[in-house]
Amino acid sequence: MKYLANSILLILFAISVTAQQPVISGRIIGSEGETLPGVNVLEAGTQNGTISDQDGNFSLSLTTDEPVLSFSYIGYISQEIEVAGKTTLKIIMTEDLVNLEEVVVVGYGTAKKSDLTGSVTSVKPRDLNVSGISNAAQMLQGRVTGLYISSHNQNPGATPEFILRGASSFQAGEAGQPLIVIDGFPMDNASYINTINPSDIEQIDVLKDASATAIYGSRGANGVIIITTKQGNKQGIQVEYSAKLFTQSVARTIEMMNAEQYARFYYDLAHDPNLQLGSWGPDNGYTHEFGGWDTLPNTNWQKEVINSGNLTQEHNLALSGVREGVKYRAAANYYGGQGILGPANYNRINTLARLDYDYKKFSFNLDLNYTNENRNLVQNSYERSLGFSPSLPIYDEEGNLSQHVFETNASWYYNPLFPSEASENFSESNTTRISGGLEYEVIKGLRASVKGGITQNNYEGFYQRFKPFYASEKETEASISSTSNRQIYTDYFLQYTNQINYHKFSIMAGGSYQNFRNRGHWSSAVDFPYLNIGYYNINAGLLERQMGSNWYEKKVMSGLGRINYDYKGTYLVTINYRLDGATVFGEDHKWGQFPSFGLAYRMDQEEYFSNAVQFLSIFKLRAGYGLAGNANIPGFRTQNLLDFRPVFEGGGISNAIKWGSTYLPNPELRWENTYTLNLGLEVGNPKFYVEVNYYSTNHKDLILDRQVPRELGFTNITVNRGEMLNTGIEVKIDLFLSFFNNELKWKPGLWFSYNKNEITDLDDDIILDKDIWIERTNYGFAGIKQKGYPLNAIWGYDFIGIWQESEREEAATFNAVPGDPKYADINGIGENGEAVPGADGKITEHDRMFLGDANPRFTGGFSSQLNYKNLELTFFFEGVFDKAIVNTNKATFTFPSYHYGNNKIPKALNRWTPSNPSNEVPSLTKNLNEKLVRSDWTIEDGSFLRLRDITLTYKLYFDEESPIKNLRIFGSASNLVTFTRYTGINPDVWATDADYNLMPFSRVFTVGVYASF
Amino acid sequence: MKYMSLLITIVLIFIPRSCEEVLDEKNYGQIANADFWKTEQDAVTAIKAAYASTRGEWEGFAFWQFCIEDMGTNLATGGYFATRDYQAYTGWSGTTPDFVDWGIWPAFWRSINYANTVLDRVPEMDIDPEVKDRVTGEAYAIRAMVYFYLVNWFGGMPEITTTLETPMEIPRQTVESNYALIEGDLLSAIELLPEKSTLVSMGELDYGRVSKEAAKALLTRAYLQQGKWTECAGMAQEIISSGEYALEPNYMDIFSLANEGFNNKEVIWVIPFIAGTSPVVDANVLQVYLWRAPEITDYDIYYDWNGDIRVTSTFYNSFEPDDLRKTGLFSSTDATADPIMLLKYPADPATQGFYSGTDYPLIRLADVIIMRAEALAHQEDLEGAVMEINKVRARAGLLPLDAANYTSVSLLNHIHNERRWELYFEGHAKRDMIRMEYNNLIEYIKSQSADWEVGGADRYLLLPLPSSAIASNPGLIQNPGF
Repeated sequence: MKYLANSILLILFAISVTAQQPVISGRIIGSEGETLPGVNVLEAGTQNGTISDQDGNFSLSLTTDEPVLSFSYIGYISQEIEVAGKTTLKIIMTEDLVNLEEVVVVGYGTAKKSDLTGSVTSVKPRDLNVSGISNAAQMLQGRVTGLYISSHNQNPGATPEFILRGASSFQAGEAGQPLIVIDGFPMDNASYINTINPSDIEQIDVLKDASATAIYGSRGANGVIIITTKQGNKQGIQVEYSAKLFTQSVARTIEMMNAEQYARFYYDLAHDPNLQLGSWGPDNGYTHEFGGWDTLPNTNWQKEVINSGNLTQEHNLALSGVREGVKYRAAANYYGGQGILGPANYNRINTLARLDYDYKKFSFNLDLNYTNENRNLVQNSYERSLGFSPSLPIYDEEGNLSQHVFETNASWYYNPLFPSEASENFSESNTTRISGGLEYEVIKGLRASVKGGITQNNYEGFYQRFKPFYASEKETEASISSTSNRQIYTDYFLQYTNQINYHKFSIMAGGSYQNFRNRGHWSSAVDFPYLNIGYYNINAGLLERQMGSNWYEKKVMSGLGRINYDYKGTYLVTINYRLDGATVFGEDHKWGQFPSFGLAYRMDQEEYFSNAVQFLSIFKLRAGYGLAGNANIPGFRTQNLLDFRPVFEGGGISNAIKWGSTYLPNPELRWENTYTLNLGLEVGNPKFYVEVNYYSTNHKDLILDRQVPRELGFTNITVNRGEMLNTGIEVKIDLFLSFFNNELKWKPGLWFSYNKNEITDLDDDIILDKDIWIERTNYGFAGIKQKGYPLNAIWGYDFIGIWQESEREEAATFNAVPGDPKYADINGIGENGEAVPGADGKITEHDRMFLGDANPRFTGGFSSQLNYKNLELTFFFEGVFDKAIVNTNKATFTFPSYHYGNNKIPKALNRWTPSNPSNEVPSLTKNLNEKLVRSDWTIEDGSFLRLRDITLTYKLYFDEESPIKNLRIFGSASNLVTFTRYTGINPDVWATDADYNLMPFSRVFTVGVYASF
Repeated sequence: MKYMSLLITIVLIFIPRSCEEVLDEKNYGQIANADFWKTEQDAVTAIKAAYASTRGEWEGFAFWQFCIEDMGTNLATGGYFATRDYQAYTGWSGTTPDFVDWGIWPAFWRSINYANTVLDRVPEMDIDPEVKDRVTGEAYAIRAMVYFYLVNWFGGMPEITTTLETPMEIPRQTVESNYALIEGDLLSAIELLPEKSTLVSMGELDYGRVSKEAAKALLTRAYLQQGKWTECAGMAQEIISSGEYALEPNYMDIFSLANEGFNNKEVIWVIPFIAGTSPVVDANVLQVYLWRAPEITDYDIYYDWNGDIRVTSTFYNSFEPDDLRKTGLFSSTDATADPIMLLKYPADPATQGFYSGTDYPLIRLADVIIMRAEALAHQEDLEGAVMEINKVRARAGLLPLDAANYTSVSLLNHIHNERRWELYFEGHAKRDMIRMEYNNLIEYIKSQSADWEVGGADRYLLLPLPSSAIASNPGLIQNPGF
C-alpha cells in the first residue's frame, strides 16, 4: 500500500513538474489531532487522487480550474473542500455517526456495534480532557437515552444517583442503581465510580435491556454500566498532560426575611390574639421590642456559609505506548478542592498502570489501580443559615459566635457557622484494585481465559468537637471509625468461534465467583482533658465511651454462557444464559436462572434493500427478550439473628438478647425478576443517525418492604409481591451538518424518552411511603403504592384557599376557623372504609388526589457541537418533565410552629389576618396542619429545562516535527440557566425536598488546558 | 465438540451447585436463632430481653410513666424549654405526643414479643425445670404488666400471645378481654414464680427479676382497676400476710440509692436502674428534667437543660402539716409559680449528666396496703380500711384515723388523698384519678387544654395511638376524638 502510494505520488509529481500545474499539499487529522494515514484524496470529477502518508500528509497536483477535493476515510464523514487558490490545506475529519466497526463491550466480551441485538449505548469520552467533567458519571449525563442522573448533590466526590428507564425497584437507594463493572470487574456499589479518573476511561457502555443485561443475571435488572480503561495504543511513547480549574457559585438562593421583617413578623405574631402555639405569646420568648427594627444588624447567613472563593483543581499526567508487543499505560491524577459550603473539601490522588502483552498463543494483562481520597466533611449548616435569626451579628461582643436571639432556641439551634468553628471531621479512603487475566488459544478458534482480581477499600473517619453545639452535650467529643471492604472476583471462560460458509457462530461458557467482605469498628467518647486530644487519643475521653464492630460477608456464584449466530451479517441471534446463587436469599431460593435472547435483522445487507435505498449505511431491526434479576437487597432479611444488649437487673450488668434487625424474617425471599421486551430500529448514514427503542419491562416478584403491625415487635418485613410495568419509547437523532466549505461544522443531537411506570398488581395491597417528618413530628405519608398508579405516586389534598371571616360557620363544620387552610371535600367514606365520590362534610384521607409521580415521565436532551476553524462550542440542554415534589421546606419555612423564632420566608408576612384575607398563607397562629403538608400547597411540579453544560474550546494543531502535538484551551460552565416553575431551591431533587437534603444549588465554572507530546 | 459440551455442563451446573453450603448467610458476631435456645443461660438471657425493653434509653419506665400519670394531673406541671417533648400530652394540645411513637409503643410491644418468644421456646428446652418454670413465669408476669399499662394508657389492645403466627392485621380487643388476659397471665406467673425469700436464699442478685408476690401485687392492682373489690382485698391480704415485705421505717429510705436491692423491705416490683456506666445501660432520666430550687444544689451535677417539672403548690399545700412524706418535696422561696421541687428521687452522684441510677418502684407494700383499704371501703368495711390506712399514716408520723368519723364516700375521698400523699410521682396519679375522681380530672383537663371543646375533654383520658402503628396495622382503630 505504501509502495503504491509512493508510486502514485511519484507519478503525480512527475506530471506536475511537466505540466506546471498548481500543487496542493496538506495534512489530515482527526478531531482530536490524531494523524490519519491512508485517507483517500480525490479531485472531484476526475480520476486524479492520492492517499495520505504515515503522518497524514498529502500532496496533489490539481488538474481542473476550480478544483474541489474530496476526502474520504472509513469511519469518518467524507468532506468536499474548494481549494480556491490555496496551496496548503489542513483537513480535520469528523467521525462517522454510524461507525459500523465500532466495538462495544457487552459483558464478558465485546461485539461490533453493528452486530448488536440488545440495547446498548456506548460513550467514548475522547473529549474528556477538554470539558468541565470531573467524574465518570457526569460523562454519561445527557448522553445516554433513558438514563437520568440527579445533580442534586454537586459536591466534589459525591456519589451520583442513576435512574435508568424508570423506577426499577421498590427498594430505595442502592437497590435501584445499575451495576458498575470496571474492566470486567463487577463492583459492590455505585460509589466505586468515583475511584476512576475520567481521563483514564476509554469508553463506557451502558447495557439497557434485559437481552443485554441478562448476562449479569441477578444484578442486571437496573442496567449495567461497563467502564473500560485506556490501554497503550501507539508505537513509541505518548505523553499527555491536562489541567483544570473549577469554581462553584450559587445559582439560586431562598429569599428569607431580613432583620426588620423578622422582628416585625414575630412581634405581630406574638401579639396576635389568636396565637395558639404552646406558651408563645407577648410575654414569652419575644425578643425585639417594638420599634428600632431598622437599626438591627442584618446578617445574610446564606452568604456567610457559602464558601464563595472555592476552587478545585485537577491535573492529569499519562504516559502510554506500545513497545515490542507490550502495550503500556501509566497515569497519575490529582483532583482536589473545596465544596460550596465551607470548609468541606475533597482531594483525590489516583494512579494506575496497565500492561497488555501478547506472546504466541498467550495474551496477558495486568491492571494496577490505587486511589486515595481525603475528605474534609465539616460543612457549615445550610439549613441553619436559612433559619437562624437575621437580626444578629456574626459574633457577639465577646467575640463568640452569636447565639439564637430567641433564648429558648439557643440551646438547640446552633449558629450556622458553628461546625467550622467547633468541629473537625475528615475521612481518608484508600482503594486498591488489582486485576489480571490470562488467555490461551487452545486450538484455532477455541480460547480459554481466566481472570481474577481484588478490590480493597479501607476507610477511616475522624471526628471531634471542641465546644458543645447544644447545652445537652459535654464540652468535647470524639469518634473514630474504620471499615475495610474487600471484594474478590474471579471468572473463567471458554470461547469457541468458527465460520462455516455464511454461518458464523461463537459459543462462550464459563463461571464466576465473587466474595464481598465488609468489616469495621468504631469507638467514641466524650469529655477530654484538653482540646485537640480527641481522636488522637480516644482513650483519654472520660465518659460515654462506646465502641462497636461488625463483620459481614456475602457471596455470589454464577455460571454463564452465550451463543452468537450470524448468517451473512444479515441475521443475528444472541442467546444468553446465567445461573446465579447468592447468600442474601432464603434457604430454598438460593439459585436463579436468567435467560435472554436477541434477534437483529440488518436489512441494509440485503441486496434488494441496498440497491433501493443507497444512501443508508445501516437499517437494522432488533428484538430482544430476556430475564434479569435484582438481588440488591440488604442481608439478613430471611433469617432472624440474635444480637446482644447489656441489661441491668440489679445484680450487675449482664447480657440480654436482642433481635439482630427490626425486620421480621422471611425465609421465602427470592430474586426480583425483570422481563424486558425491547424492540429497536436503527437507521443512518455517516451524517445522520436515528435510533428508536420501544421497551416494556415487567418487574415481577418485587422485593419490597412491607410494614408489619408494630405490635409484633418488628417494624418491617421484606417480601416478594406484585408486578410493575415500565413502558417507554426512546428516540435519539444525531445529525452532521457542514457549511461554508466545511469551515463550520454542526453536530446537533436530540434525544428524548418517555417512560410510563405503573404498578400492575400488588395483591390488593396498599403501601404507604414517603412519610413526611418535620423535626420529630410525623406528618403522615405522601406516597401511596397501589395498583394502577406509578410506584412513586404522590397523593395530596386539594388546597383551595383559606377560610375567610364570612365563612366562619361553614368552617366550623370542618373543625376549622377563619385563617385555617381549606381543602376540597371530594370523597366520602363507604361502609367498608372505601372512598365514595361526593362530599361528606369531612376531610379524610379519601379526599386526597393523585398529584403526580416522583419519577419524571419525560426526559430529554439537546446537545450541540459547533466547530469553526480552531474553535469548538458545545452545549447541552437537559429537560426533565412531569415529576412531583413534596416541598416540605415551604411548610417549614413558612410556619412558625416549626422552630418558633427561626427565620421564615417573606411570604409568611402575608399571612392571613382578619384584615388581610389572604388566600395563600394561613394565619400561622396554629400548629402546622398535617393535611397542609400533604396538599398541593406544598406538592409542586418539579419539571425543569436546564442548560447543563456549555463549553468553548480552542484547539491548536502542530506539525509532526513539533515536540508538542496538541494543545487545547477551554472554558466551561454548568447549570448556567434553569427554567422551572418549582419554588424550592433545586427541582433536581427526588420526591421530598426537606431540611435534611437542603443544599445550595450551584453552577460550576471551569477553565482548563490539555497538551499532548 | 462432545468434550466441549461436557465441559460446559460441568462449568455451568456442577461447580456452582456443589457449593451450596458456601451460600449460607453468616454474620459473625450474632447467633442464629436455630443455634440458640439450648442452655439455662440462653433462657435467662432471653427473658432479660423482655425486661430490658420496658425501659431502654428514654423508653417506657425510664421516664414516661411520670409524664402520663403524674404530670397528667393537677399534682405536677412540666416541661423543659418551650418545646417540651411531652407538652403535647400534658398540655392537651390534640397532636400525637411523639414520645408514644418512639418511646412507649415499640418498646412495650418488643417486650411482649420477647416474652412471647420465651413462652414459645423455653418450654421445649431441655433444661432444669426450676429454671424453666421461673423464666416462663417471668414471661407471663412481664406480658401482663406491659398489657396492664397499655390498656390503661391506650384502651383495649390487640392480643398477641405467640410469635409463631404473624398476622398482618390484628384487631383491638375490649378492655375486659385484655384484663382477662392479664389475670390469666398473672395466675400462671403466680403458679410458676418463686417467692422473694426463695430468691434471696438462692443467692440471686438480680433483684429486678420478679417474684411470686410481684405477680400477686400486679394482680391486686388489676382487680382494683376493674372494681373487683373482693378479689383485690383478698389478693392484697395474701401479700401483706406473706411476711415477705414490710414498710420501711423511714419514708425516704424507700427511694434512697443506698437502700436499693433485696434489702429494701418494701418494694415488691422494682425497675432497677444504673448510672455511671459508659455507655449507659438502663437509666432513669427523670431528675435532669426537674425544676431546681436555687437552695438545692445536689442536682447541679446534672446537665442544665432548663428542666421545668414542678410539683404544684396546690398539691404541696394539701398535705397535713406534720406529714413526713412532705420531705420528698421542697418548697422554695423562688418567685416563680409553683416553686416546689421534687426530692423523692435523689441526685445520683454517679450520673453522667442526665442518667440516674435511682430505681423505679413499680409496686411497693404501701401501695398494696392502700389498695386493700380502698377495696375494703368499697365493701363498706370501714374499720378494716382505716386499719390499713393507719399503717401508712403511722410511718408518715400522722395520727391514726377513726372509722367512726367517715362514711364510705368520705373515706374513699380520704384514701385518694392518702394515695397521692404516699405515692406521688410514682406513676399512678392519673389512673387513680380516673377511678376515684373522674369529674375532677375532666375539669382539670378543661382548665389546661386549649382545644378540649373540639373533641371533648374525655378523649384525653387515653393517649392517641401513634400514627405509625395505625398505618402498619389496619386492625387498629384510633381512640375516639383523635
